[in-house]
Amino acid sequence: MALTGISLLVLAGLAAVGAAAATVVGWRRFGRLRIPVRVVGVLLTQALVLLAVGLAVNRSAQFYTNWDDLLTQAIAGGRHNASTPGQLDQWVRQHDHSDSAQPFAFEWRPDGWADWHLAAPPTVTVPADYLRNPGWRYPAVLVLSSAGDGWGDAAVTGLARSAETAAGPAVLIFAHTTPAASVPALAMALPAQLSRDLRVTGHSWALVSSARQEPLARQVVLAAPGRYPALAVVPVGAGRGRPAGVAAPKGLPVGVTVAVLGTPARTATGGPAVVPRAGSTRPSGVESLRAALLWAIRQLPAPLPEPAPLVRQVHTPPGQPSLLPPRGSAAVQPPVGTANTSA
Amino acid sequence: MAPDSLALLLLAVATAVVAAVALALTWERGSGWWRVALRAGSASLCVATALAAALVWVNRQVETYTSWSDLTGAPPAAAALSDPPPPGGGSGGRLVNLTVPGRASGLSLPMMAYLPAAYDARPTARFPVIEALHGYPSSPMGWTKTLHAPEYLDREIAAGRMAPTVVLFPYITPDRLLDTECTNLSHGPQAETYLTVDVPEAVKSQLRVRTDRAGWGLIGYSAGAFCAANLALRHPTGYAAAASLSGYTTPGITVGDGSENTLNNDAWRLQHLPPPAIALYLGSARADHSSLRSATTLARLAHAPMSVTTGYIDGGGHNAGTWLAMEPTAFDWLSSWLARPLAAG
Repeated sequence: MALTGISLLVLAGLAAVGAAAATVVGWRRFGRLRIPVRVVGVLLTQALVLLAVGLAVNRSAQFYTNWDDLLTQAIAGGRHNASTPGQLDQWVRQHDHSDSAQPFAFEWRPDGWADWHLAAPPTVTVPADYLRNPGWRYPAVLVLSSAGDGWGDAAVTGLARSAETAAGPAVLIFAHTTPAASVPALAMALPAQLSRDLRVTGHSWALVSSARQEPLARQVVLAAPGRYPALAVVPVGAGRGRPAGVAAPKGLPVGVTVAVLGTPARTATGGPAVVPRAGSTRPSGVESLRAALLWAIRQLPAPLPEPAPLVRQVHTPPGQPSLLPPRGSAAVQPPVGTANTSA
Repeated sequence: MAPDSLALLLLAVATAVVAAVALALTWERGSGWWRVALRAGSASLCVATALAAALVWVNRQVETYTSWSDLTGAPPAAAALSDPPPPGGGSGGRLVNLTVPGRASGLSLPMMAYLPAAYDARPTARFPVIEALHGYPSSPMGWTKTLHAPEYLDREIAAGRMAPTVVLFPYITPDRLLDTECTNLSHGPQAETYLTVDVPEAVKSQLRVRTDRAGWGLIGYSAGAFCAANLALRHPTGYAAAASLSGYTTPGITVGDGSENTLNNDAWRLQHLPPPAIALYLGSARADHSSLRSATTLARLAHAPMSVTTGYIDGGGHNAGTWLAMEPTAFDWLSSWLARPLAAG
């Protein structure tokens, strides 16, 4: 008999009426036992009336839809995350000779990168603790620059190390674009490919762009605003007079936060955000990029393992503080070198 | 003896039994009008005590009245919320009581806040924030006592599945039996302003938290679930993500300006307004047909730049067991969308 079924409700109602009637009929009977009979009759009637009311409310609001739910809180089902990220983890482990003490930078040549119309393969930097936390997913920062911005690869590792020390770990991707650079590639293909090769998050990346690349960056954000909710634009030509014409990109979706280095950051439609600090005087190109990276990384979530799966089966006696995870249920990280696939 | 205590429930049940005994014993006592009055009085006492026991049981389930001042209508004192454990007393976080002076809304209410252990260990860091909204009728105790949120948060943070986060437990209504659904009622409390302006303002000035939108999120169950999704949709420059556990698409109340059919109707918003770049987690039990239908509707209507994650569990219902089951996943999910704790400098 279903907990929310009409039959149980009718039965409870009839039982209440029957108990009331029996109490009235037996009120003056049973001799010396009439007092306890009366007490039991009154309490039983009250309990059954309340039960009927409770069942009616439960049927209306669907609080408890089955007996298991009411009595044992048994819940089955759940969510599954089927993916095999981190295909380059083993390769990184073999080639990172810094003993995971420093961020590791490498030239990334994924399949099809030539179709992205970049000037060169992107340079990717994984944080120092990447291999030590094989169950974690890392947010990422994509840096777009072009020839003449002065952001040479030589500074990449140092910048990554400096930014990670100050703002925490993140995967950094440095891409040197060309005029033919593809927006869909930077918005979709590159993140998708990196999501297979490294353990990066599927959302909440940041984009850092030189002022020259701002139009491209804006299009990338528009194409994937959920992927890039934070955009930092760095003036170029630092050190040779104030760069002109650097304005915050317009027309971005509500909720995308933009920072033009040296000006207050703004969330689209004017919400509060962080003011990046690049120093009281206008910084050099590399310093500007470092400040932009710091700002961008600070917009990102912390590296985390997958969320706890939805409870599949819980069996708790009624009335007990239920479903609390047992103490000491902290995620057990497998040791470095046992997980993931080679490239 | 608090109104939601087991002792009061046992006392109420015992009183109901005594009332039944009294009815049975006094039925033949007296004569004339005195007998009639005695019977009527003891019968009324029976009904009243039985109802009282039932109400205390219900109150224990939903944690609507957690102190006697709630019942008497007096402004709840911060101390009435709970007795927070002493700071630094263990490896877990701690609860503190704040008062939110409602400069914008005119509502001044107490609020509990969960501070993670890292709050004390990293004295210069600023932490992301989650506003946890209770159901109706309920109170912040619904989160802290019924749903054991502090214990869950301790465990998820210790497990590394969640970044250290400050979690706020505000009231969503100044009157326990007035359903605001976190809206600004035309002729009533300005709950939306309280939750989206006064609470953030008070917390930013009293606690070390992130002040930017990327570090703020919402979570709620039942009415609080509608609140979380609706407030995130209405204030995307204040919140980056929201988790809705057994929510709805509409407030189910009359706001007073008709907005329950438009701007305070999440399905209407997604059909008629550009979606903001926020992330929503929509959780429901499959057996909770109303909430499930609402979640699937919102998921169907949402599109980029909005991101929606759904989590459904088989069975369940619109009850604490379901929310307990969804709670850790939802907190972890929120943390994965909120900006990290901000180191000083």
